[in-house]
Amino acid sequence: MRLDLNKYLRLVCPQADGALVVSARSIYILPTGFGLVYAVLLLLLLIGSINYANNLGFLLTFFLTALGLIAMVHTWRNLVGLRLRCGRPDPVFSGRTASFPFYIEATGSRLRPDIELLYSHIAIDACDAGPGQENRLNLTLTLSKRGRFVLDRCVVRSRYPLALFRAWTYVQPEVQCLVYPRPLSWTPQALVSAEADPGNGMARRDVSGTDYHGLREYRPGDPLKTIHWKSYAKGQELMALEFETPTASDLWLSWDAVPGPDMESRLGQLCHAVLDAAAGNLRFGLRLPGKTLPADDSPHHVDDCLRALALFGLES
Amino acid sequence: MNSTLESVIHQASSIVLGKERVIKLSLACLLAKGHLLIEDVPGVGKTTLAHALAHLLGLEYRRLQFTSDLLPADVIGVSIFDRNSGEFRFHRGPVFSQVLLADEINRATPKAQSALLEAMEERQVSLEGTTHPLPEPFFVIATQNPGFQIGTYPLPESQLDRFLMRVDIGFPDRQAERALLKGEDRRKLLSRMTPVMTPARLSEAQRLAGSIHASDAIYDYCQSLLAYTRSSDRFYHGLSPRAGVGLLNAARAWALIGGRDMVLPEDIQAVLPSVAAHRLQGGTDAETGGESLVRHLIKSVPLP
Amino acid sequence: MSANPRKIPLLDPLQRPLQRYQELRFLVFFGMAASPHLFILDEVFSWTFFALLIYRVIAVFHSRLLPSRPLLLVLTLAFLILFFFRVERILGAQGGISLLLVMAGLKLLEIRRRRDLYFSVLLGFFTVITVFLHEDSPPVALLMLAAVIGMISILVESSRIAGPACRLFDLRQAAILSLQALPIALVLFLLFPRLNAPLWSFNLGEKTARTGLSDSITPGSISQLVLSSEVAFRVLFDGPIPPPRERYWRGPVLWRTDGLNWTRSPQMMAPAQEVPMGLRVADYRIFLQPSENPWLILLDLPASAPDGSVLSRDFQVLTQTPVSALRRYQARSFTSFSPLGIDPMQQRLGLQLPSNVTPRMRALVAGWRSGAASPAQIVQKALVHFNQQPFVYSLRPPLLGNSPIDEFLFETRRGFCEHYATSFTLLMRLAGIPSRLVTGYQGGELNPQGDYLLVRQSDAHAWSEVWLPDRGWVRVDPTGAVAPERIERPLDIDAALGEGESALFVIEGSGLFRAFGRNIRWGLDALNLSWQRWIIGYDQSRQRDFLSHMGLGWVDQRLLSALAFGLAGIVFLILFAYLRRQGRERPDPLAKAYGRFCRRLAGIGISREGHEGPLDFERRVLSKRPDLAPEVAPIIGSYVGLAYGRSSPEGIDRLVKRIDAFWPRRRS
Repeated sequence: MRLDLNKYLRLVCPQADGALVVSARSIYILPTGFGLVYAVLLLLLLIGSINYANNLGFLLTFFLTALGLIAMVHTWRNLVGLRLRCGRPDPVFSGRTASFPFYIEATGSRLRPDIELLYSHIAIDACDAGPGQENRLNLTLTLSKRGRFVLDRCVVRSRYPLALFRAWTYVQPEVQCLVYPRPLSWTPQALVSAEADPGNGMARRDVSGTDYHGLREYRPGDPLKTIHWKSYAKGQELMALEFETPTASDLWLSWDAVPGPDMESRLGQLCHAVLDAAAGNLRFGLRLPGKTLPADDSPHHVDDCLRALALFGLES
Repeated sequence: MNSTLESVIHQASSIVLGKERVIKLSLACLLAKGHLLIEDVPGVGKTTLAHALAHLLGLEYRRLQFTSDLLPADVIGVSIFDRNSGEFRFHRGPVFSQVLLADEINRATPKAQSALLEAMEERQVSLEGTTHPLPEPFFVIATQNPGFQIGTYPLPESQLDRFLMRVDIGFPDRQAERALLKGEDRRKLLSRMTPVMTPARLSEAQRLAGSIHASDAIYDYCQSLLAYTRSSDRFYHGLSPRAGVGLLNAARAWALIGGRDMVLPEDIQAVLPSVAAHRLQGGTDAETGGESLVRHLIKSVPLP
Repeated sequence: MSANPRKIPLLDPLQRPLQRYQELRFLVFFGMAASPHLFILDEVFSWTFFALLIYRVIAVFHSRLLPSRPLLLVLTLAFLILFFFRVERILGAQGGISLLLVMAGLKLLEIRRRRDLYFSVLLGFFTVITVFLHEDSPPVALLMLAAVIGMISILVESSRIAGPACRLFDLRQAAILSLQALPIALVLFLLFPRLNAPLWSFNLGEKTARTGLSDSITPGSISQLVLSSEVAFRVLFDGPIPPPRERYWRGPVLWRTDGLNWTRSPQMMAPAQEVPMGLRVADYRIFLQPSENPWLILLDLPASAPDGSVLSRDFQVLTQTPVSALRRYQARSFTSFSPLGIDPMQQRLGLQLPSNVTPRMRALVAGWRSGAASPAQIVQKALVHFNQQPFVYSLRPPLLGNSPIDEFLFETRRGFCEHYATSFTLLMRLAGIPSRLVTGYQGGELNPQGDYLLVRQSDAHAWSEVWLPDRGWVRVDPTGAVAPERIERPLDIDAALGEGESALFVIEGSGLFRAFGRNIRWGLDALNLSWQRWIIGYDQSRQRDFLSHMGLGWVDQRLLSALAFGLAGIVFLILFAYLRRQGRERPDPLAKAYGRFCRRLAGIGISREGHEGPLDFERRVLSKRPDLAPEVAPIIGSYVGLAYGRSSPEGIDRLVKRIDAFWPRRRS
């Protein structure tokens, strides 16, 4: 049976305005390995000073002892009152690196050097936080599992100024990152099942389209560059070029259309298809078992589709 | 100056009944040199409000109804071939006015919309290689219908950011509606009114609004608000620096209207819904509207 | 729902490579810490170390010069072998220190990463204390202080992430840390119990020749000393300082002579049995420089022996072990006293004659004896002889042969105090008057800046004591008969040398410049004395003095250590509280007052929301308690003006007063 020590930890949790403020009580402090060696050195110096009754030796020994104590206070003070704010990470595809930005705010008027950010015992980023600059730590994690990744407890640590002590605090930012499925490329022969929506094959005609369609009579307000000068030169009426903007038929990306074989690879293939469709500026819809997203071509739509794929089968 | 502004508000609210707060917000928007977007269902007095403001401020006013076949040239003007002289002459579009009421802006195609919005941003029009500056002052008061109706092109976020404020008018309360029903036609009433201000007075008022004192505590508060929208999960993305500048300017104008020579947190909170709601979207989870997000924002960020 | 994240770790700060300026900075400070060893250690090792240091400095700019690990190993072995060949010449702990220093030099070649730097800094601290074992002068201590602060700044620098924001940031931080550490260090230093005996005996190999008195005299031995301006001791008188003619500082007393060499008598080194009655008493404290001699110097005539020493039968003050560190003692002397008796042993020793007494000498003495009625008259005649015959006081007497006293008396007649004293003593013995030779110091320079006497090795002197039946042992200084100014005022080497002969420490220039130079010397020396009183010489007895001065005389050693750590703890807590306050943002008085105002309103059930602005709050308060309007409205009004408008200190004061007077009551 394992004792759950975690519930005894003093965690720094977000305040009402979302800031993580390191309080005095939540800081842990212990000597580093170097600090222990330093203590051994102090002991040696003390023994030497006593033995030779060397007063300058005493002075040096006691000075270094006091220095160690003062350094401990400074290490502690380097963390206390620190305000962190965890920003939103952008969603990532599985297997890619998500970056959780931590902004250090309100450091006061003094520099707080050596603020390190650790995630499960590994230092990820560090900076010297000071006033009048952007103090940002990036917690970069490579996320491999599709779904909603909830950031666990992080550690904020400092060893400033003499590295004799390390002070740390556990922070629990309430932040999560959406992990999309990893896009799997596949031969899109099955895309033939993309259905055309009847009545959607109309095109809009305009002077401002892309594909040339024909000539029409000049209307006031038509841009000069669209005027068909040739015909005007022939003494005919002013004519304007007319272009047409094709409105493609809606593409439907469907669960049944991708080869599979299992759920995760289907999601990956659909993800790839969504990205392809978005890259081609296509108007598309997504059909998943139990969920259908109607055809659209707005940027939001891509996000919505990817989110649906990321959370498929994980949340109701 | 205060009495002048009060008189503008007083007279405007005698036209648009029972909507003093909306009038004040709109006026604050104009004093902060921002463009205004009014969003509401048809028939609540959007046009009347815009008209009344323009009239009382003594500004030249034009109205442009946006439709799906509106071309950019219909907004900014056109070079027309003059058969007699054999050359093209630039005919100024409706955008060359001090106040442009862009009615139902979301009915026009994105092309026409962006033509207007570019003019709004740069305060000039470039056509066929020549640049035509827009008059000073220049305001766009746009209206749009809420909801995604068929055949509308909702303004993209990047365009929405160019409007300093978005207000909704809402239905009048019972008493105001009674007065409305009893009273004369609003348009006739308006035509009888005399302008309270002149463009010169207006630019002086704008200058005055810009000089309203904002203390460090106010800057802190503003920054905390912005930082919160940028880091909290509740918001899809944070407020832009432009929104921050606009927020402070609007709060200054609001303080001027309130007769103070300094910005208070209340001023920020008063203009925040109008300034921020149309720029904010709910985050990944909460599909909440802009207004509730702003309420959450105000409640979450304590005063410094 | 948590996925399995893979972390992308940061390069451990300790493993980061060093930048050029970091390496250079460290090498400079380490060199500073080790530099005194150039003058202390065996030159092979100290020069090896500095050669390695300089090589390392060059390698900062050409990193390929750094040796590989195998080569370093070979080098280490080579130095170890060299060490064992050389170690026999080096005494005691010096060997260890030499080895340490060379190994430190090799370690320097290994510094590549921050981790190496950390441990090298510890090595640097250790080097500093090895310097302190040999050198304790204030300039060296200052140099070491600078080196230690420099090395602290290296630790500060290494613990930061980014490069140098400001070049002086780390040094400034190191200085701040040091200043904050100082109070605790001083408390521990003053109160940490001192032991009198070492934990274990370990020869430091300190037996270097020091200039000073020795326990025997040959003609010419004191004139060596006279050329040394080294300080012998300093004296602080509790009362008035005795006049120059009484400033005879007693050292070894010599009885036995072979005509060339004078030595002490072991019989006379037994503890004194009788002490004369003092007529005039002087109390004083002496700070004796290490002399490596087993005696103390006191003003003639010592009344008692200081702690840890013995007063001998001929009034030398003897110690068990040689004085190898600065020694401080309280002493009492009689400048005038009742007649001292003589015992048979002294009678015998005081008349002992060498074998090389010549007939000329006997004839001279016989001439005096015939014309004198009492021994006192013989003494008088001898002094007159020295005074009237062409005797010359000279620091450069001609060389003397096998019978030096005879040659001096009748041929060369040029000599220094020891010539006069030895020949006078011998002549008195020939006349049947018991006599002995006393060595010590005479005179001393009064330092007006510290109000103490400074006695240098150049004040070394020798004189005679004769026993007269009615007056006891009497001091007779024959040098005074030849050169009375030698007694009345400090020896002026310039004058004494005469004839344009050069001395080692002539101060050039006019009298004014000389006075100025002397003033500076005095000032420095006064500083030196306080340094020695409070830092170097702060031993157990001094600590006890300090404690009793503070009214803590009853504290024993064990309690003292508790007191030391307790008081250091209290000082630490005070510093901690100070640093904590300093770390916090200073709360603005306005915000504090407004907070108080809000808390008082919360006390009656109206609490402000975090986001609620002052006007909104006022409105809510007044809607609940309209009766408070006369008090609340002006408070909010002026708060708004001060917090969001342009604030003025007077306005804040007024508002604070108003809020302090605001005590809302619950509605009954």
